[in-house]
Amino acid sequence: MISKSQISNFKSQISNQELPNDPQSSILDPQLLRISDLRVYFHTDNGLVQAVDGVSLQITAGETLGLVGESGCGKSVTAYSILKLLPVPPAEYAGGEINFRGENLLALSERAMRRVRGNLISMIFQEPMSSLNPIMSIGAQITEAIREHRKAPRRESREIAIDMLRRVRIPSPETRFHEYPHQLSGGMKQRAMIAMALVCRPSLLIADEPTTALDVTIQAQILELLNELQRELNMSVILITHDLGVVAETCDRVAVMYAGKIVESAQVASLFETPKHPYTHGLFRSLPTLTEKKKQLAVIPGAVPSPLDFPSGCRFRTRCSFVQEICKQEPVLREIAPNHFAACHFAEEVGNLARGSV
Amino acid sequence: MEDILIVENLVKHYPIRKGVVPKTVGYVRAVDGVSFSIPRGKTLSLVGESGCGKTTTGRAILRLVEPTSGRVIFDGRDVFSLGEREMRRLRREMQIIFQDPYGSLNPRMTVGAMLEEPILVHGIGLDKESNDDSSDQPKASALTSRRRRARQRVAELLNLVGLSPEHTSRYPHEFSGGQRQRLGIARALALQPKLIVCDEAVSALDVSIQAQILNLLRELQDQFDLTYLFIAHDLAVVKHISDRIAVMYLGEIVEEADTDEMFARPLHPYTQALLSSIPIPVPRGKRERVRLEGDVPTPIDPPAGCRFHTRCPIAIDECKLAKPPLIEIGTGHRVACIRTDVSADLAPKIR
Repeated sequence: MISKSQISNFKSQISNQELPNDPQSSILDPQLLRISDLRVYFHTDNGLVQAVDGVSLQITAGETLGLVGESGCGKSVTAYSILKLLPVPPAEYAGGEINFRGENLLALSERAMRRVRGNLISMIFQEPMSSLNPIMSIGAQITEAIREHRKAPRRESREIAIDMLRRVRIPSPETRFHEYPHQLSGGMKQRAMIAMALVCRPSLLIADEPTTALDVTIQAQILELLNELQRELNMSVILITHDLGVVAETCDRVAVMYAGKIVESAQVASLFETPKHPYTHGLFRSLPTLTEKKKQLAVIPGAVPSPLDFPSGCRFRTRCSFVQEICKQEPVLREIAPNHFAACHFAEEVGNLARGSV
Repeated sequence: MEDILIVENLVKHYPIRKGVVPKTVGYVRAVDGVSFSIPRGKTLSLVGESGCGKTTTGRAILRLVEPTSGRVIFDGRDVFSLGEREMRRLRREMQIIFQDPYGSLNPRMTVGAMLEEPILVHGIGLDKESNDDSSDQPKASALTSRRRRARQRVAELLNLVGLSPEHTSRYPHEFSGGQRQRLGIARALALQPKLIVCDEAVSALDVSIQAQILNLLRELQDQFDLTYLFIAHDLAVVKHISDRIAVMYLGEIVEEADTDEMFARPLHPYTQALLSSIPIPVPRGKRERVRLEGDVPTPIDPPAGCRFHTRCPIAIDECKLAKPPLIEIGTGHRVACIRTDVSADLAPKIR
């Protein structure tokens, strides 16, 4: 039997573990993660899909960044690229860099990436049932992650796993340790997945629609839990969602994507109060709200263009009410107000509109 | 106003069968005594979390699942007493739109064929032409003119839901999610129904598309005096579309009120928790939140007494003993809770 002190000793080893790369670089660069001009293309039978086309993002330590947009906007592809989880081919990392603590992840070998995944950067998914292995017990799946990255003895990893289950507020963790995913409810499965993702204390967590499949009361529990754990472990979180309510309540900063590009990014308060891109502006107006009664909802006309055939210039121009001749030239993402960026020729004018008006 | 749909004490229990020689060992009490009514041309929403029985209620009303007991009166007719043939006739008047527009459209049928079929089978909207033809023309041409009239009707339907008649020869996979939901609506409208059950009809759609579909449903309601039974879990959507809301928990209605009243003065602690759990798109808009611990209990063996007592923040011992009746508190505001004196104080803080 190992003593308690041995375990806590081991735990502190985990948290103090040094990174494989040069520790100096993280001091030089205040950003934990810096994505610059990322391009991810898919070669399909029907043609080239520019799923992510020139995306730049930064995230500092301890920060929560919301990545929002409608289906097919490239938010998930961006996230999967960070961990290089996309199959190549059909995917192609066609350009750009993903710098994590000064090291370009896109240049790392598959072997080196395995040391990053689940260890330095973790991910949780929308569907807990399909991301957990149905024929392995919860405990086995968590200890597998520990043993992969830490080479910890079996008994110690077991203690760490149970401690993690406790931290994600799974009742009677010793019993749950031996149970299989199908024996847990939806909310509990999501908790188990969070435990697995966080057991190696990553410095960045990517959460891809973590609460979309859950009921609102359970969603509230999970978001609260994520928030607490983030503070406890001092990690950064990229939260991918389509729910602007979730963003408002959990994120520090937000980036809005449309058709493979970031169209607007800002601090949450700034973006919600004065959206500066017509797309963001339109999104807010088309939301049914709890506070006001509208007979008709404002709509963004049309649908997202096919990724095989994005419009030239501004990709939103086919649906935009501000559209003019100049929109055939691609707008750059520029700083409209302090730390508030938008990619629109008319961002200043859009910013001057009240959120509820045209 | 006259009620087009009256649901009385609707029950649906699914037997659980186990063993080599299958034996019923218990029941999933999916819907356990639900009553409500909808006036003609209005919208009632059933809300609740997964497994609360809202979808089963919708399907049992249409007899897409056979109910265990209860009574449904639709437009003066007792739905559960009808034979198969009469039921088929009645179904023209009661239609359903599903959540997943792709899963509910036949992938191997063109839009035209899909919309034409029910029109031809039921002969709806073809009356004028068939009368003209019956006089002296040969039968074959009567058939073709029926077809022609049906084609026209398909074009009308597509226009109605914001698609164009050119789409007639396409297959479902050629459409986007929003367009597919428009097809689902066109199909539901094909037989000129009086009641449409919208089962999570906009839940799978993106925000900008969701707004388009919600507006369309509203317009169609005004145009054809449709009655909607709207099943959803998104309370902001529900607030937008409904006249009246019923909140379900574990197969029972726990609170029912007109929309404005429900949002202004939610009285059941579960409704309060639901409302306060919705993340609102207003930064720093921190609200008082009624937090619920744990998960929804299994409907196989629901808690005795008030089914919500295991998660209720204000439950007392009495709540475990007897099931609270659904009683009318204000005008048209019904709630099943014995602690409304306490919960009433919480209500204003939720918003």
